[in-house]
Amino acid sequence: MTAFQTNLIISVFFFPVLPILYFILRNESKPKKNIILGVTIPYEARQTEEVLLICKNFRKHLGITALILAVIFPAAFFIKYISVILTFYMLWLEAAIIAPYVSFTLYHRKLKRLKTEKNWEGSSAGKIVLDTKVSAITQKQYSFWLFLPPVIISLIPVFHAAFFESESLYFIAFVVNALLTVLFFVLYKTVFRLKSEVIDGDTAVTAALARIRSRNMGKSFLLISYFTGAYNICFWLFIESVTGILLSSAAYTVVVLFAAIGAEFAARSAQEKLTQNSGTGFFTDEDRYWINGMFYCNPSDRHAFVKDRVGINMSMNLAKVSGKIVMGISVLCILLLPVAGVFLITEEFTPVNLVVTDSFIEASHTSPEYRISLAEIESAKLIYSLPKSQRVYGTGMDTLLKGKFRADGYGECEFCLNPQVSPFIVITAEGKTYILGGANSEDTANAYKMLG
Amino acid sequence: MLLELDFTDETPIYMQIRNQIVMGIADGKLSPGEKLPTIRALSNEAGINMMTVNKAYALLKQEGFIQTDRRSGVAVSGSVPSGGVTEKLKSGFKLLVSEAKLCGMTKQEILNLCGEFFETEN
Repeated sequence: MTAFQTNLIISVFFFPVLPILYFILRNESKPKKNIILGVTIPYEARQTEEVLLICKNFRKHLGITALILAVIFPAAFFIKYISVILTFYMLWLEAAIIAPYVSFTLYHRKLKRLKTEKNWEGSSAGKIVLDTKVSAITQKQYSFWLFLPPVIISLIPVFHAAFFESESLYFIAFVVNALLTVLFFVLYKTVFRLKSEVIDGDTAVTAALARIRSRNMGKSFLLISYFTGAYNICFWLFIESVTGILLSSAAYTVVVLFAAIGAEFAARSAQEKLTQNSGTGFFTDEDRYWINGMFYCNPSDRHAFVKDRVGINMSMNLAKVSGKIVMGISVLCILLLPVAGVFLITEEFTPVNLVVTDSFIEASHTSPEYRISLAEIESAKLIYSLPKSQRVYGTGMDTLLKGKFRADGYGECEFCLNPQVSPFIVITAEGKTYILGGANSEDTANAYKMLG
Repeated sequence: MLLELDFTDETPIYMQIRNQIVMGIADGKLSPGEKLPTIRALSNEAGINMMTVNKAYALLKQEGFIQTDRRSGVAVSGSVPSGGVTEKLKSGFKLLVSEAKLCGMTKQEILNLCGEFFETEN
């Protein structure tokens, strides 16, 4: 894959993160359920000059942050090395995830300070408020049978790989996709176990909010479950085509995002209209349980999941062990992205090496990759151009091909070579084919000579 | 009716639920025959243990404020328990008046406050 192709593919997957986060966070500056920028504000205070100014400055700050990140993004197209390109994108992605939330946190804190100064705290602050009428209502749910077709569809590739293919490298991917369809059903059921969003004493509004939330989230989980089932089939059908897999993955990402974000924005817009006049007099105030308006932490609450206050979908209760573990893993994954970059740079800039001794030939890169006993070699030949090949798994860079590949005329082979340095040695041993190369042409030619 | 549960309050949660439901019935926020959430629904909604809700409901049922049915669930009793002032109520009231006296309230102030609460409840 060339640097340009890498740039193009990654741009499609990575760049949308920025506009999505921008619009979601920008939307937080509009009052919904009497919450602005993650802070509960009484009805009377929503239109005060100070609140409006903080919201305006937040939108400006967020806009500048997003603009800077957007301007930086195309710089990757001028980078030559794939590992550096990937490292750049990982750092950019990390910045695109963190920087908008830094803007949000800054202005959330400003608004919270203002709230304290003005004594806008609700009388129910620190209490759990629930509406008995709404709690007594049983929400209508989709039947289990509606979720069954995507599960069955997604199991087709799993069974095919398990019973009709002797060695399927993608078996785990098929299983993961099939499990995801089940997970969306579980998440759908979780929606109905979430706490109602009580804003004030208006039962009709609370009931309507609960209905809107469960209908929109439920619809999106059902749709995503079907998309995942269809994606597993596409992945299975296009398994031989990199373009097919990439296109179906891109299509899956787009439709899932549209379903999730569409449902969230539909719910937000309905909430906005419904709660325009909410929060007069008595209003609920759970701010003390929300760290920076984003992370829910309430030791008295047995719920593991709550509706997100900022962003889409659900948050985990950090006071619970499961919440702490999930949050820890998520933070670790984000922070470890640049470490993956270091690994890739090492991969690309370490030359391959070929050593022949009295008893074996060894191809090494960052570590010894293949050691073949000379006694077991059935045949060896020198080729000056690489056959057309497709990676099954391993590393594929401009200067490094390492791992399992399908090569025209050879079938499945083990590669460890720099494609820009010919010739290459094709070795067959114990029924396996290896195509190996040295750090330079002389090394490869010498190794071949020593093989005799 | 809104239930407000305060986890920092010394009053146990089951008692907070019981007290607020009694007050809700008294001030007309909960009408006779009105359905209440099931034990599971209320515990899930409040994020508390089912046993806590069960304890509150058992107490309310014992006192005659609510009735439970396997099919129709939990509802406010059609008729509020009557039978005059019980000894338990009297002793509770006496304790409150004593505490108010110790706080320095005069008889008139106590009567005014009682009147105020009585009016609010109606």
